[in-house]
This record gives sequence, C-alpha cells and structure tokens, in this order.
Amino acid sequence: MPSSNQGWQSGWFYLRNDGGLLPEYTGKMVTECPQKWACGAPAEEQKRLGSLLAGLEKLRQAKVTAATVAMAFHKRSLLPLAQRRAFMFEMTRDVPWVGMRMLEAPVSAMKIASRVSRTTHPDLKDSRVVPMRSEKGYISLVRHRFCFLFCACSFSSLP
Amino acid sequence: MAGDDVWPPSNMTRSALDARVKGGLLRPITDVGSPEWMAPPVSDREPNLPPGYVVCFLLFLDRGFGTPAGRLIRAILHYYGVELHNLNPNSVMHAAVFTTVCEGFLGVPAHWNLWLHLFKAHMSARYEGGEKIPLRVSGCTLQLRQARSH
Repeated sequence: MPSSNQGWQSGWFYLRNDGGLLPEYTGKMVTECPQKWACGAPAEEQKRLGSLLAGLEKLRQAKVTAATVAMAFHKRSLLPLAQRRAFMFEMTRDVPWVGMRMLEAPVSAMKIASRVSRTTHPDLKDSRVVPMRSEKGYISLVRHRFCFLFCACSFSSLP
Repeated sequence: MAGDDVWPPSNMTRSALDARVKGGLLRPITDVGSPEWMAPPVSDREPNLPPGYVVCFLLFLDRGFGTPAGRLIRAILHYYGVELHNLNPNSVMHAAVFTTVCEGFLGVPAHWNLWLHLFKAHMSARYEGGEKIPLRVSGCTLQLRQARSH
C-alpha cells in the first residue's frame, strides 16, 4: 500500500496512553525479526477461515479496495483502531452513535477524497464509497450468519 | 548491533495537532493537567515524555489510529513485541483497513487468525556498507502476504 509518507518520522508528538493499553514507551529499537513474525495462522485454525476468505473474495469481486474501505471509515468519521462501544456492524439507526464517531457532522466527499488520496496509492484515489454494514446497499455475503457465529466465538483468541 | 544515532527532530506544532482535532482525527484536550496529547517542546531533540505517554506520529492519525487503543492494534503490538513508534504509517493503515473490512464488510469482529493468515511482519532497517542498522523509528513493517494480495 504505497503512499506519500515522506518525512513522516518528523511528525512525532506525545500521546496520553489512556488506560495503559499501549505498551509503555521505552525507546525500543527493533534489532531482529523473530521467526513468529512470518508465521501464519495455526494449521488447525486455517481450516476454519474458509467462510471469511470466501467473503473477502466476494468483496474483491465487488472491487472493494483499500481505498474504498478507507473512504468508508472516513465517511462514518471513525478511527478503526480506537476502542468503540459497538462494532461497526452494530452501528445501526437503533444504536446511539454518540462517542463512537469523531465528528457529528458528516465529512464532505471532497475531504474524504483528499484524505484517501494522501493515504493510499494514487491509482486508487478515484474509488467510490461502498456502504458498510448495515447501511443501505451494503454488500451482502451469503454465508454471513454462519460466519458471524463462528467469529463471535473466536474473538477471544486475540492475544 | 548499533542503531541510528539520533531521532529525527520533531516538526510537530500545536496548530498541526489542533487541525487534526478539528478534522475529527484526534480527541480534543479536556484535561489540562494531563492533556490527551502534547506537541514536544522545541528543546526535546528526542522523545522526553512524561510517564503515561507514548510517542505517536501525525500520519498514524490520518490512517485510522486513535485512543483509547482498540483490541487489534493492542494485539498487534503485543504479539510482535513492539511499541507504537516501531510501526509506520502503512502498517497502521493495513491494520485500520483490516479492522474495517472485518467489522464493516464481513460483519465480524477483527479476527486474529485471519490477520495472521493475511499479514506478516518484517524488520525494516537502514543498510550501510552491507551492515544492517536498526532504526530509532519504525522497524516493524506489517505487510500483506504476496500470495494473499490479489
């Protein structure tokens, strides 16, 4: 996912480590590449990924790209890597979105396009916004129900 | 193995960070005694941060990082045994896109084994006369596995 990141190393600042959730800063330098960095999912778990991989293939066929996905989270004014009270697919009209979105006002299409063009490959900047679950027109995946049940059970496997 | 000698000096300003707040990419300061974020003073040639803070980069915010940190980014840092400043913007973007694909398109929480299946990490370094020099910033690059990239 190449992009224009030139000089990014100079953009450092101090961020409060709320709840001590991030590893404490020690100035660590990476001096080796442990073998596990290249390891994939355990063999017995790979067999269970079939439905998710089929879903990804369907998204690929629908031309969902990294830029498309970035547009989707900017449109919803979400920081995907921050904690939220609900998963994105649980953000329905029945659930108050207060505290989950960074801005209450919608982010303009021009602003979204500008952000995404800065953060993904220039060839991808003309991507369109694809609705996320459970917005009108989202891409339905046939095996969704099975997949959800399976994955809900697996979530606790995060290290 | 000696590393890069110095951190690149920070060019971060309060106004640049305020602009991120305005754009909805950074939370506003609500606690002046223990602010959510701080631009480093000019005198800080390298990070000299108070306890309870980490070093973050402006481009991480543009690519979907935020606090309190969610489970996937915590899992990544824990599993690969690195700190936030050991990542780079593209790695953060991979994690943000992955989370959104899982939650927003597949309809599942971020799935750790799927992450491991799709991504790997490698050490990024500077090479000088054939010698590998570790980096003060970055060092752990998260990459989509080639066989999974189409």
